[in-house]
Amino acid sequence: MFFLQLALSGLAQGAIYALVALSMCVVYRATTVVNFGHGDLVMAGAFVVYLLVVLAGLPFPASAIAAVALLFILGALIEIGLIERIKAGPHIGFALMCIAVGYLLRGAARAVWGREVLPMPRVFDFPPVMLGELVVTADALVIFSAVGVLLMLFFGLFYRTSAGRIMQAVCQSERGAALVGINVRAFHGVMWGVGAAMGAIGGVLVAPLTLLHPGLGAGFLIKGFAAMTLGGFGSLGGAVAGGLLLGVAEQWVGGYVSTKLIDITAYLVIILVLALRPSGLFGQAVAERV
Amino acid sequence: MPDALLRVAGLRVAFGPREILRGVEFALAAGESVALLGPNGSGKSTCLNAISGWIAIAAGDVEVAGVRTSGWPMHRVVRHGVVQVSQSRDLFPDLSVEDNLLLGGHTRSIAENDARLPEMYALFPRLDERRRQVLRTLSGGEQQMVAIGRALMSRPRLLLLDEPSGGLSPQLVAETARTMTALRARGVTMLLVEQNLGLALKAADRYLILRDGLVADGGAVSARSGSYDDIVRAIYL
Repeated sequence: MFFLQLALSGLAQGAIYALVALSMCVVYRATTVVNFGHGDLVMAGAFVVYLLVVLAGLPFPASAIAAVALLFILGALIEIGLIERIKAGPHIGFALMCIAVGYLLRGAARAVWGREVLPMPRVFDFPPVMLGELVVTADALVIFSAVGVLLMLFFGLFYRTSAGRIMQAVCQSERGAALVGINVRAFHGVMWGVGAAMGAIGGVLVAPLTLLHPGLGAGFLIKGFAAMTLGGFGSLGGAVAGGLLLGVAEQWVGGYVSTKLIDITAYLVIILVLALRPSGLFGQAVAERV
Repeated sequence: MPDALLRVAGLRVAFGPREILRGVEFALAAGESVALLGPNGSGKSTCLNAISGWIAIAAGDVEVAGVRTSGWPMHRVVRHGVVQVSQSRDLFPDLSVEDNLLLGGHTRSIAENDARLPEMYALFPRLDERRRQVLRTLSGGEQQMVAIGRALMSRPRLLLLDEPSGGLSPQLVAETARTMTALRARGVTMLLVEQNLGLALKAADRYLILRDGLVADGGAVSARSGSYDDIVRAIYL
């Protein structure tokens, strides 16, 4: 029973990792840029919610929607204003630009709040649900539902609609997309917006559950990387599965080995997966006829 | 040419200090099929890429149906009706044949695409059999059919074809030749770059020879009465 209870807690944590990893993966697949500043967009989402709820006194749902919308705009502006400009340069330029933007956001938060740790009032305040002997907390229930609905919406849109077909097309061949009349530059901006907004939803969901601090994003970045690596770098479904598995693995390691190891589980996962199966659990060698 | 569909004037393209096109001038009438010939490195593909908006031009004008399109990004040129089938095909490898075709017509309405799709399958019956198949599993010849079909889905005013027989077996080259002839018979306006002279001249009403970034020669294919020796000489000597 302890085993299952840990798995359940892990899945709730893993759902957030899955969301962050998926949002990083969306940006990577659409633009081939790995956003090393993505964790700070998650942090920014959490902080915007904090500002609106605690300082402006707005209700949580309205604050959440505003934070996600704001982060969409920020993500799109980063791509259009900064990333697009250095497209012709070496790929390392993207990495450095993303790191710089991430640290800028973190620095801005530090300039205002210093190293203060900010508590947010509880939002999901209802009694836990019992599944037999298993306890599902209110937080876990909200996260499961929100992430579940979001994933269904995202994958439904991506694989079942003509807009999704266009997204897949640009991910597979930018020149091909331009050849059929798709504005690839505008698309990149939109996809950075989508990635930032999805990351922000992760931040919005954890904001009421955790203590906020400007360095919050660093942990999410490495968890996102670990989930992507575990699932198979670039695989959207793999990122989700990797996130869930990472969340469960952390809880099992914490429960059966030592809680001190929870924080290094993500690093161990990255090292082990890259050493033993670089394509990840769900990555596969691609066969192509010529 | 007073009623030209495509007019190229003083077209210059440079890659760094090297000037590839040095003032190319020609025009194409609607319904006409023209083969752009020339030795390797003469700037044929560069010319197509400049017309389609894939590469920036240094100077000159490209005008399509009376509208200046030079300087436009590729997606805007496509929406104006100029569609290129690139040498590398640039298809969507993980999508089905049908999705690739439908994306070709994504600037058109659903009703237009519904009407156009059966026409493409009539032109390429092999694709009809493979409509649900993922593109990367198709042979090179079949992928070439998808590339041409995808371009035709949007009913372009002008089709730019870059080496349609490139990398194909002799049998598939013959099949490509049949496709080209069928397109010509349908009155599709084409500008074609092709190393295979037999195929190029079978599909074209007129030819232009590019040499050192300039149009050096040209004429009607019908005036050659089946002997292309002087064209070969004009290209290579």
